[in-house]
Amino acid sequence: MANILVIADIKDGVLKGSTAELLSKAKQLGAKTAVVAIGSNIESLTSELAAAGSDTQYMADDPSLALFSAGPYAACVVEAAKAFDANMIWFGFSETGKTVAPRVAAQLDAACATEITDVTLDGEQIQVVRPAIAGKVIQRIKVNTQILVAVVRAGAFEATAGLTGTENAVKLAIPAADLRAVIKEILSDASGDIDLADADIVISVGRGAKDQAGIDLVKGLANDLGAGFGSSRAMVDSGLMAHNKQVGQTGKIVAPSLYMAMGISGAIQHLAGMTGSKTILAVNKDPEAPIFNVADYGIVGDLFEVVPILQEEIKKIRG
Amino acid sequence: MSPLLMSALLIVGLAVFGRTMYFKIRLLMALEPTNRADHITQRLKNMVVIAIGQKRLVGRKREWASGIMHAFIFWGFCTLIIRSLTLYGEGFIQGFQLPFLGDEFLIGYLYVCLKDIMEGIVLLMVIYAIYRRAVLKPSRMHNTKEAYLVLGLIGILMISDLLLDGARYNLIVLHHNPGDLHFFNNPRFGHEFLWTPVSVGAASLISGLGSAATGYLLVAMFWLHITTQLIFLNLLPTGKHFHVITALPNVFLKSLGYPHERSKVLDLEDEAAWEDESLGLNHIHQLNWKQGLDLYTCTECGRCKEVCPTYTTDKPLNLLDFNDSLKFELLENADNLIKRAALAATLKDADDPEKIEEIKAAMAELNSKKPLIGEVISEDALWACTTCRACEQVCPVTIEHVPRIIAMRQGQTLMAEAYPKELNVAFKGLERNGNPWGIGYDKRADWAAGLEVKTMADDADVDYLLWVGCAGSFDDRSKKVSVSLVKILQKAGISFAILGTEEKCTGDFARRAGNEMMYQMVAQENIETLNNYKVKKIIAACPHCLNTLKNEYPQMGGNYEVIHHTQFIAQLVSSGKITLKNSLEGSLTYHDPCYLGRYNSIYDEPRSILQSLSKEGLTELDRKGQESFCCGAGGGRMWMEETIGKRINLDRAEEIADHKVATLAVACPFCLTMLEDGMKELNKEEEIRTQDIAELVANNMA
Repeated sequence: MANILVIADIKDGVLKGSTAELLSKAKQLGAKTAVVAIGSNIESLTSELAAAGSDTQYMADDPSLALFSAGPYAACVVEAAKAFDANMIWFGFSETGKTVAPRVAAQLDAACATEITDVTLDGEQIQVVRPAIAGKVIQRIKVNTQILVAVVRAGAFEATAGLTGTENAVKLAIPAADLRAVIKEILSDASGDIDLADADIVISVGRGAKDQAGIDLVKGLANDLGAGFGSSRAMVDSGLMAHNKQVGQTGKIVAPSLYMAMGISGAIQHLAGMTGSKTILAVNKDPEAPIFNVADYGIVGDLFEVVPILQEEIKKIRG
Repeated sequence: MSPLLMSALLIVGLAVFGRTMYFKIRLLMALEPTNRADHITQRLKNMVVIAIGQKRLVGRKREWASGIMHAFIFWGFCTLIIRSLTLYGEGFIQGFQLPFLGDEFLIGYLYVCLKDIMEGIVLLMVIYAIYRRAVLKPSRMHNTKEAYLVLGLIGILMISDLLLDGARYNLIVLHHNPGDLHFFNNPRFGHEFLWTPVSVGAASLISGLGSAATGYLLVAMFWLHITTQLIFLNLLPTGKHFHVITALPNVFLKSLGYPHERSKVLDLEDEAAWEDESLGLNHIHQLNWKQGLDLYTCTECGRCKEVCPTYTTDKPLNLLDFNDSLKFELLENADNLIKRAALAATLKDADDPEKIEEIKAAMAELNSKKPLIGEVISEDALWACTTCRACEQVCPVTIEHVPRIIAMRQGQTLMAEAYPKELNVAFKGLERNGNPWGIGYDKRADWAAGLEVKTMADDADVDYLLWVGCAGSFDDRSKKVSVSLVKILQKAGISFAILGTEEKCTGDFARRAGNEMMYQMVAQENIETLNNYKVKKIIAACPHCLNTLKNEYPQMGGNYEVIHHTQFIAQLVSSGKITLKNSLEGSLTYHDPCYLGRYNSIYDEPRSILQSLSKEGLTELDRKGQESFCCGAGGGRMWMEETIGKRINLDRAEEIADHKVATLAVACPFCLTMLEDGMKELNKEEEIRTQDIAELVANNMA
């Protein structure tokens, strides 16, 4: 039986959904599950971590760990992995995951696979699946090391209700601070908006929104859904949206679970930044708009009419 | 006059000048080699047309007045060289004349007349030049003391010579020639002063002087003229007026066969080059001698920045300053560069590895302490360039700006990995999928589904390969152009095929963004594919592809006859294979793409097509043909953000919108995207339809 250690994705003291997705998958594989949580003042998360599907919670809770630092974070994971005798160590898809995973792999002499979309267990043999060459081929990799460190692609696994674990918190020793790189402060986007690269849902606004009123309307929908709020180049060029909101070839490249293109025609420069999204919904007046070629769901209509209806329906569903 | 004084002045004047020139030439010889000794006839022709004919000054409608002003000052100088030699001779021998220019030949009289009138004209031009600098103040120019000093000296040269002849006239005619002065007199041609109205005019101004005073004036003007000339000669190499000496050779030595020096196919296997960080242009010693001569020759006229799409939209690339900064860096390091070159020469003979290391270390010691990018040229300036060549096309002395910029980008991209990060996406897409958007290469031929277009893999026995390009293959808007083109070719019954999924980006943008490695990779693959199918003739649907296929692939063993689709369509029309209906409603204008016009001199074919399909004919833009304004996407700029200043495409779209046309014809997928976007931003996309010429033709074929 496999022992799978999942690294909890905690941001600003809140446990993100991806942790439960990874733990659910681990449970489905019939593995023993544990989670390692690193941060400051996170003790209160123990029960939530258990509910998400972990049977052991390795807690590294210390003010020195409040800000991300690759060295100490890796040390915590390695310690937990050793204590748990983990065969697999899974990171969610985030910058911190991508930074820490190779360090952990090196320290444990483990294989490291990034952007995996599936894992299978055939007895002791672990096999992972990952897309390569921009998704044109699928690699199936047999792992021939004792331990596998993996970074799981966003949205690859689904959280399943009912697969809960048990509370069994274990305190980890707090590693010494990293002397090579000390993070003093994290400056986030001054607007306080949700980071496009991190967001599970991204809603982008295009020329169809016309002006500030249109932007505010779509932004309202983004707020309702807790979605990242992006833009096509046209809106940035016209000065209505900030440059760091641009999705596309020369802006941000996003791949959320749901991408909503509001009044965006879908010029190739924009498509290059969002076609990796899992599901794409497009709203555009022009039925010929190229965005509909890549959309999973399309609404031909004026966003000024469509958005309020969407908002109302969301309200109804949420009660 | 006085052989002693004349000898002394000449010896001092020429010795100092010779020393300066020796140093300047030595510095050029210390720079990298480049071969410019070929095609002498073509070079002479360029020199006659561009330099001596002053083509880019007189021929430029936008600034005809200053062009004519400069041309006459230049032609005046050319004329006066002979007069100067005569005067130097006169210093030694009274009445000295050059062979065939004495009073027994008509040509002697004609020369005297020409010289006289030219001096008058030059003087007027100098006055206009001073007025222009001081009052009109064209924004492109630096108003320096040097400029006024030189204009003043030219003025003194003209006035002193005119007064010299005027004084001679008065002495001969009014004062009965007391000193028995020499002058032309011939029963057939009359006497000299019948031929020199300006000098005679000058004489009337000083006719009040007595005989003795006039005599003194003559001597004074003679020596004033001679000393001014020698001072002038020595002043030239110290500043921007060096062009008086270097412009002719610079034009003679300009690149041939392609508008500027082709990028070198860098040897990327050369480990030493990577180790020495010598790929690209990172330090001033890496300039070649012609590029050094370009810097000597820059006249600081500012035409380059005036036509630059980046400078005029408030970006930090100011080519006048760019040249000036490089020139300053070159001269500041002159001594070290000369020493360095001497060491480099010893390197060839050294075979002891220890000795080689020693020499290399000593050479590195002599490198400029400043890397070019960051310290001499700012990164923002370097990356602003769209490689549109407007600067080069307008430069009166044919300075080649763009190859230096590309070489500098090579250094930044290959060695320093310091390039705009947005390019990474395009590079990655190119590397993995052969197109900058990174769309799956397997989808490259999807646009042609159902059109019954053959691929070379199906049947390579065709007359033409249609090179579609990335935009025409993947961009929904440009796909319509590809479809139109196919319709035209099928209608004309042309035997053609496409490469389909075997086609890749030509690498144009990667090369211009300095990523020579990526360029060579795709170029090699494409050439292999093309040679494999024994492709001879290519119709390219994109000017950037055209330029690379036609002008750059031969460097790597790909030799094809490449024409642009507008050229091919024009041929089809003139040979009657397709007939155009004269049915396009509304006014029509045409935007010249840089890589079609300035790079490949294709200006007429697109226009002839448009003329014959439009009812109202063609409305020309102000910035057209050789001075067409870039759309902003060339040189890899398509794949970078434009965050500084006004956006170039908007500037161009506004110009077009001012002409209130119904249709904007383009001939390049980048221009199509950029200008259509510009129109959308102006909310004019319905009013002014932006269409490729192929689309217009397909819709207006009989």
